[in-house]
Amino acid sequence: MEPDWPSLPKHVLDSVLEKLVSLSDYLRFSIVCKSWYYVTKDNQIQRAKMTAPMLLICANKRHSWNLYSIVDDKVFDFQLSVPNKRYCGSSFGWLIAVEKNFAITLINPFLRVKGRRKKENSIIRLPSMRLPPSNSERRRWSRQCNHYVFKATMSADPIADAEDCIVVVIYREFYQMAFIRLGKAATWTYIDTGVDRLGTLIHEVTNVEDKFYAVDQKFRLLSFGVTAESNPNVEVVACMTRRPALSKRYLVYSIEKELLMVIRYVAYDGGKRSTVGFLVFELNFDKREWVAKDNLGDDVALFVGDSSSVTVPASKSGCLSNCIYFIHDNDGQGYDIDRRYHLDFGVYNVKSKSISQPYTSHAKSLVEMTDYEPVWVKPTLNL
Amino acid sequence: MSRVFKLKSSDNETFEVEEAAALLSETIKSSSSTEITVPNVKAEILGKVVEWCNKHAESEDTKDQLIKEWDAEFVSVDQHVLFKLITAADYLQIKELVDQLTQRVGDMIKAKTLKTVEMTYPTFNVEREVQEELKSLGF
Repeated sequence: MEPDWPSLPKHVLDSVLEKLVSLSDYLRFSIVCKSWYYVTKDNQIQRAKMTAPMLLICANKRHSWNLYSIVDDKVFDFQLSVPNKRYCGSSFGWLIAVEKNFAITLINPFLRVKGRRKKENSIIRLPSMRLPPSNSERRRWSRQCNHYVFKATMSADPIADAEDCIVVVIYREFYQMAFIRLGKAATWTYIDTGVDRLGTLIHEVTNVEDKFYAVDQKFRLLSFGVTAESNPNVEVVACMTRRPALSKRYLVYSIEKELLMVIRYVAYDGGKRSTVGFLVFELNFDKREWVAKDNLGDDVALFVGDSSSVTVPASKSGCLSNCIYFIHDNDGQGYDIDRRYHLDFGVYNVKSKSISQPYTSHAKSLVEMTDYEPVWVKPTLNL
Repeated sequence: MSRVFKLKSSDNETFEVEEAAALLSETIKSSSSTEITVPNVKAEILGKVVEWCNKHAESEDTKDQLIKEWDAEFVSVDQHVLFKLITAADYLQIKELVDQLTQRVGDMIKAKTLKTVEMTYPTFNVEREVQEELKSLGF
């Protein structure tokens, strides 16, 4: 007779589950018995915070994307059915897309496995943004609607946490921002940064508790709260005195509760872009200044791209500690680029300042052949 | 002077434990008496727990390679003993021991030696869906 495994108390089972890193082990735990299954369900939200994003790679066949898990070192056999296009954001496991009529849609690729019945609620449609002001701009952006939004992010899971879900976009008219509360508003609210309109081009925006933080081309850090539909008050929180030139920047509220700005240096050889290195800064809220850091954190891994920048606990997620997992992302050129030019991907070790490419050769060849930029996406585990 | 604690198993056997070893247990730490009965834990299991506590009390550096090897051997027991050890360690609230034992359970899941308890829950049909999920993921 088997030991009475089902009777183990929840806190002991939480302790077992915590030690299981890979997806397959996590699933095997859930089927030992019913009570363990329910413990897995209870732990889903906690688990999601510990799970590294996977890489979604367009297979170039109609509505066919492959999924590569760096942690499990596996390209999965199945494919996901989402439109073949450039996505302007990926947050909480949902892709953010722009349609021809300037509407924004949220798509959960994990609920759309090819060959299986599509789960309900895999697409959430948001209202259209206002049209670009002139006819010529309207025509231009209608053709390139996927690039009308430079980057987008969300503050919460749109299904599990719909009440707190706010979508923020950085759109192409001078890289300004707009936001909408999921299910609560019929129109987008446009943010007037109030800081010399033509002089502020927003590069990245991220959510920190009940506020949003954005960084512009001059490395000014702006913050605003979203409590009402009216134009929020935008505050300049910090500036940089010595500014890194020509670089990409990402903002992330790390798992260690620090607001980090990560600078990515890229070089161009013809049309080909490659990443040279990264710098990490932490915001000192009291002094309102950026402080250089020589590490991400004790046990932290960071993922950057067109997706919302996320950190995960390295050991619990199976990632390399103090490393930045980067892929190619938009330079804001406004149109789809040739496939040969979006191969800027790899892993940067912050301590040793070195870059490696630990992808399997199968995954590498998929990335090299894809027509659209791959996207980091947090897996939705369906239990 | 170091106190001596008396731990009594459910089958009435008594174990004498020095203070340093005994206080690895939060339950004993917060007990007002030095005589503690551990319900539902037989002597065979309680003895092993005491052995673990004694070993960990005498070693100053628990990160030492030798004690790691000793710990690895300690948890290499069959499912039944493992289960009983977890129950005992959890009752006595010995955090590090529970941690090591749950790590072993995790290892058994990875090695697929901890199987589904099918017989007890024949109506548990979610298992089929998850097995399909595992297969389709290629695991």
